[in-house]
Amino acid sequence: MTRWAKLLFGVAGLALLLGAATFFVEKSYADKAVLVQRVQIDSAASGLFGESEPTPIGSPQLMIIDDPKAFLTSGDPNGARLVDDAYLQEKGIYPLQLKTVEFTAGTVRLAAFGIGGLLAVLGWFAGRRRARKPEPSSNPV
Amino acid sequence: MNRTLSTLALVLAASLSMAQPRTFKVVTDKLEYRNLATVESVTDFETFTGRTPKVTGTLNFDLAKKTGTGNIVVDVASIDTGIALRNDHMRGGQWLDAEKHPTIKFQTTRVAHVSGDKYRVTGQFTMRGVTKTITTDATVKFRKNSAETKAAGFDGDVILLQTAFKVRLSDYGIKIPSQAAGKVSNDVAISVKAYALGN
Repeated sequence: MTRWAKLLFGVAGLALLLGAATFFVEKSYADKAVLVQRVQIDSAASGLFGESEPTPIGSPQLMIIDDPKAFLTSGDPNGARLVDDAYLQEKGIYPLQLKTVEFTAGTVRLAAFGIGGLLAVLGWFAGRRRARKPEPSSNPV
Repeated sequence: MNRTLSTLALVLAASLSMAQPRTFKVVTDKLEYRNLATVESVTDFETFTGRTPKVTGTLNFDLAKKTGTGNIVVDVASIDTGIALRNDHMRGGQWLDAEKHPTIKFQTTRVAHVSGDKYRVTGQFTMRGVTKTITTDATVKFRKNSAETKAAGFDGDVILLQTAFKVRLSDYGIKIPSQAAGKVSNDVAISVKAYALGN
């Protein structure tokens, strides 16, 4: 096997490994993700108008939030956990969405498998070309 | 007799005053933080929500007839999505174009009482300089000036207005760039929650 073929196979292997690793990374984030509804809390005003729930900000999303203090003790009727948006802003937390992880992992996986596959094919061709290269003739003409 | 007449006159005056449409102004200044306008956009990468408390407007509400008119104005440049670069993009010429069109407006043209605090509202919605007629559901709750309203920080009669609806970006001249086509939804969800104080 030529040096080029070895190099191409090596990089292809690393790319395929990276592609495979994205499955595990995605899975680990998915395990930590919870359905979250960000809310604005204004108990005085909500109480005045008989509202039992804080004001939702956007729709519930699957998010990864490591800080347990961000979660309120109550949940919403749809099963989402409520998170105080003011707390997130105060702590400078921009919650990661599972959707973002899935999109990024999917893109990296596609690129890694694509590049890995291409390099493996190139490595195979590089190896074949070397193998087929004719030996110089020893018979004098 | 005079006392009875005076009482009747007072009751009549009170009833008449209740029957008149009253003007309520959306709170600003120190109470502004209580207002909340949001715009939610779904993309392949993330579902993000822009938000701002900078809501102004006036409601002319007839408490007895349960009808009225009103307008709500949202300041575009103050909408915060949580990421500075995305805020810049959203305010830029390709999207909301805050420089040329600094506000998003809704002006009612018809308000029909449905039941309780629920209303069916039709009006002119203006975004990025394009006006379209939309119909949406709204909740309007009224609280008379009392110890409770004061305790909640409101100095006077107060109205809570809430509404939510969806609009299509393409209807308002917003063309999703070709590189983002199919990755950014053409529909965005808008919601407004605003408190208004009676004059």
